[in-house]
Amino acid sequence: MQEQYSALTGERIRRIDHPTGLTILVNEKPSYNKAYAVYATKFGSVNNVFMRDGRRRTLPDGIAHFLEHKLFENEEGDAFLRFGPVGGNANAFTDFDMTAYLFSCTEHFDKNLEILLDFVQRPYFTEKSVAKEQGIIGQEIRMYDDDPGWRVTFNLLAALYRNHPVRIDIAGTCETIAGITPELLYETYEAFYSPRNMVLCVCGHVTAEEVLEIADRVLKPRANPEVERVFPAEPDAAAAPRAEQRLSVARPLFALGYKNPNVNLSGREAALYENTMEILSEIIVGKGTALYHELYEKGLINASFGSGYQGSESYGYLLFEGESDEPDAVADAIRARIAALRESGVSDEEFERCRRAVYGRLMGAGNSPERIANNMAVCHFRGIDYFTLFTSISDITPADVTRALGELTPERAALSVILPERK
Amino acid sequence: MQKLQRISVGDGISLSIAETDKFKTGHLSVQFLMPLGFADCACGALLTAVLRRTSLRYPRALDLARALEELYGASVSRVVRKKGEYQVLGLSIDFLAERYTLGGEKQLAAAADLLFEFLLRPAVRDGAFDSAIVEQEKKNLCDLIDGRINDKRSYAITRCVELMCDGEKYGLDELGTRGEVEAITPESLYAYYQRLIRETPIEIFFVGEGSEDLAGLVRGKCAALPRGGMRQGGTEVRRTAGEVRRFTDEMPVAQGKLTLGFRTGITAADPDYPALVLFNAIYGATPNGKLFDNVREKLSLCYYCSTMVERAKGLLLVYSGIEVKDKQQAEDEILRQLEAMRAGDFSDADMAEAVATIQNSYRSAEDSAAAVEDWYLTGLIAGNTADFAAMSERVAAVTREQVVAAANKLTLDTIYFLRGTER
Repeated sequence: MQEQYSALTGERIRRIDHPTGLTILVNEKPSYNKAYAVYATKFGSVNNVFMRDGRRRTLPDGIAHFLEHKLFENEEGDAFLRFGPVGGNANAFTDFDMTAYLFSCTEHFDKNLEILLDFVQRPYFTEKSVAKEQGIIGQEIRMYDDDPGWRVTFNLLAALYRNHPVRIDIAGTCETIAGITPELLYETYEAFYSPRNMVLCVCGHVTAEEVLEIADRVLKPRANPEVERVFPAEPDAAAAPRAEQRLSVARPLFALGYKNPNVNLSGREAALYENTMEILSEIIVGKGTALYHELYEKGLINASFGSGYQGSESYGYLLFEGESDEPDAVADAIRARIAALRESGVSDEEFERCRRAVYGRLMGAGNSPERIANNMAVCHFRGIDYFTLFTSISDITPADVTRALGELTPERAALSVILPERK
Repeated sequence: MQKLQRISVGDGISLSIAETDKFKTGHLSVQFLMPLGFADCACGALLTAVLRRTSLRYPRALDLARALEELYGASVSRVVRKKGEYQVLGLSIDFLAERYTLGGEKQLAAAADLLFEFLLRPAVRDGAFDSAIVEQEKKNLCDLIDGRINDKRSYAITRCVELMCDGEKYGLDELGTRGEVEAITPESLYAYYQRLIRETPIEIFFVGEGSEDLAGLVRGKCAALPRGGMRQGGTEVRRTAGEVRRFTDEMPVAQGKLTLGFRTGITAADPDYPALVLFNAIYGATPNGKLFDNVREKLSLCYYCSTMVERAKGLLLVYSGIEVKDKQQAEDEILRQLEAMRAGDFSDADMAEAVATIQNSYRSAEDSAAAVEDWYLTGLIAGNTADFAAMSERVAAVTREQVVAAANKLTLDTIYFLRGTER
C-alpha cells in the first residue's frame, strides 16, 4: 500500500495495486457520514473501434451505455435491488471515456462494496433482457431528444468533429441499439472490463484496510487482454462552422466551441493544460471582465451564461454557452475579444485575478465524496496524479495562457444554436 | 457536524449555525420569508436579481464581480423558492474556507461583509433603484418565466401544481407572472424592498467553520434594520381532494409527461408524517419502489417514474416520461400500484428496505451544506424542526398498519398530461 498526502488539500490518498491488476485508490474522510465507491472502466461511448489479437472491431453506437444498463442484471436477478436492503444508494453512468458503477452508503459499507464488486464481474446477458432494455433506453433517448441543453451540446460536437466519435450521442439512437445482441455485449465486456483497464476509487468514512479486505475476498482473477483503442484521424479545423435545430424553447440557446488540436496529453502536462484553458476562459469572458458586463447589460446574455474547458485525451474544446435572443452577436463579440487578446496579450493583473478565482472554485468543488472519487477515477485513467490538479495551478504562467490563446483560431470554432419552433 | 444552534440576532431575525470543518467551503445565506399573496411574487424574484448587481460600495457590477474573484472565486446566488405558502427570498454566498487559501486570508468575515453589502446597502437614488438595471432584470425575469418550458420534466410538475392548486396561494409561481413583472417600476420595487426588510421574518444560515464571531457580526449588520409590523403567514392545507380533474397541454415534443397530483392529508407537523415518508419510499420515491419496479422494469414504459412529497402543503406528486400512446397504460399501472399499497400488498422486506434507504438519505444529507440548510428551513416552515436523527428514529418506529393508513389518506386531485405532438 502506498500513501500520498497533500498539504494543500489536507487529503491523503492510499493506493493499492491489487494482484488481479486492479488499481484501488482510497481517500479517507472520517468526518463524513457517508462513504462512496466508484468502480469504473476506461471504456466509454467514444471507444467504438478497437484492435484485439490483430483484429479490428467496430461496435454499434451506444453499446457502452447499453452495457452499463445490462450489467446490473445477473443470473439471479437485478443487482440493483441488492443494495436496498443494506441501505446503499446505487447508480451508474456512461461518459465519453468511461463507464462507472457506484454507490454511497452510511452503514454496511462492506456489504455494499461486496455487491458492487460482485455484480460487475459477473456479466449475464440474454435475448429477453436485451429486448426489454431497448424499450427503457428508447425512452431515455427520447427524453434527451427533448432536452435543449443536451441537444445544443451534441449539435456542437457534431459540428466541431468530422470523424471522432465524440460527435455521436452517448446513448446512440433507437436504430443503433436495435443491433445490440448478447454476444456483442459479452465480447465488449471481455475486451474492456478487465481489472487492469479498471479502477476502484473510494472516498468518505472508510479505511483502505477495509476496502482491501473486501477486494481480496470478492475479486476473482480475470484475464487482462491487450486492447488498443483506435481513433480516426481528425482535422484541426471544425467540420462545420454552424449547427441549428428547432425545439420547443422560449428563446435561443447557443454553444460556441473552439476545438483543441493539442490532445494526447497525459499526466502533469494534461493537468497544466486544462487548468490553463480554465484560466483563459475566465480571462476571455469571465464575470470579472468588462466584456461579460457589456453583454449582460445589453441583454445579450443572462445568468445562464458559462464557459470552460471540456475534454480528455482524444478530444477537447473550449466552450462558451448560454441563452440569447442574438446568439450570433454574442459569438461575434467573443471571437472579437479573442482576436484582440491575441494582439494585446494578457496582463499580469488579469492573469493573477483569474488564476485565483479558478483555484478557489476548483478547491471548493471538492466537498462531495462523489465528486472527489469520480475525479480521482478520471485522473487515474489519464495518468494524472490527483493532487496535481490543484498544485499545478501555481505553476501556470502568463506565457502558458498566451500560448493557449494562439490555438483559438477562427477555423477551429463552431457555433451551435437551438431556435424556438416557428409559430 | 455540531448540533445546529439557532439564536435570535434581532427582531424576527434568527441565525442558525452548523459548525463543521468537513467542507472546503463555507455557505452563508440570508433568507426572507414572504407569505404568498402578500405581494406579487414577481417583485421578490426581481428584487433578488437587482440586489445582486450593484451596491453603494460597488456602483459598477464589474467591481462587485472582481471583489468576488478576489475572494477566491466566491459565488453569490439568488434564493427564490416556494416552501409551503411562503416565497423564500434572499441571497447566499459560497466561499473557500480560510484553511485552503494561498495566503491564509480571513474569508468568513469578508464573505459576510459582502453578502450584507448586497442586501442592505443597495444602490438607491431618490427612492428608486437604478432604472437601467431594473429594466435589464425585468427582461431576464420574463425570459426565465418563459424558459420554464425548456425543461419539460420540471415544467410538467410545476404546471400540474399550478392547475391543482388554482385558487390557493400555493398555486402561485414563485417567479410571478409576466404581467406582474411588466407592472414593476424602479420606485415600486424600492417600496417593496422596504416592506420586505421591515415586515418579514429573516432566517440566516451558516454551514462551515470558524463561526465564533459570526453572531456579533450579524447583530451589528442587522442593528440598523428598521423592523416592525411583522407578517406572520401560514399554509392552508386541504386534506382531501374533490372530483378528479384532468388537464392536457400539447407541445411539439418527442416524449409525453404524465403527472398525478394527490392530497396526502398529512403535513410534516402531523404525527402520521413519518408513515407518509415511509409510504412514499415504498411506493415511488426510490429505485427500489413499486413504481420503478413495475412501470419501468416490468412494463418497460419509461426511463423514470417517481414521486415526491411537499411536506408543508401536504401534496404528493407522481411524475413520469412516456410515449404518448402509453399514457393510459402508465396511468392505470400507477393507480394499480397505489391500490396494492392501500390493500397492504407490500412485504416486511419492502418496509425494512425503505427504512434503510430513508435513514441513509438523512445521514447523507449531513454531508451537504445545501441539504442541511434546506432541511431546517423547510422544517421551520412546515412546523417540524426535528433533526435528522430524531426523524430517523420516528420513521423506524412506523408500523405496517400506519403505512396502509397513510396510503388510504391519499386522494387523487389532478391528472396532468403534457402531450407530445408530431413535429
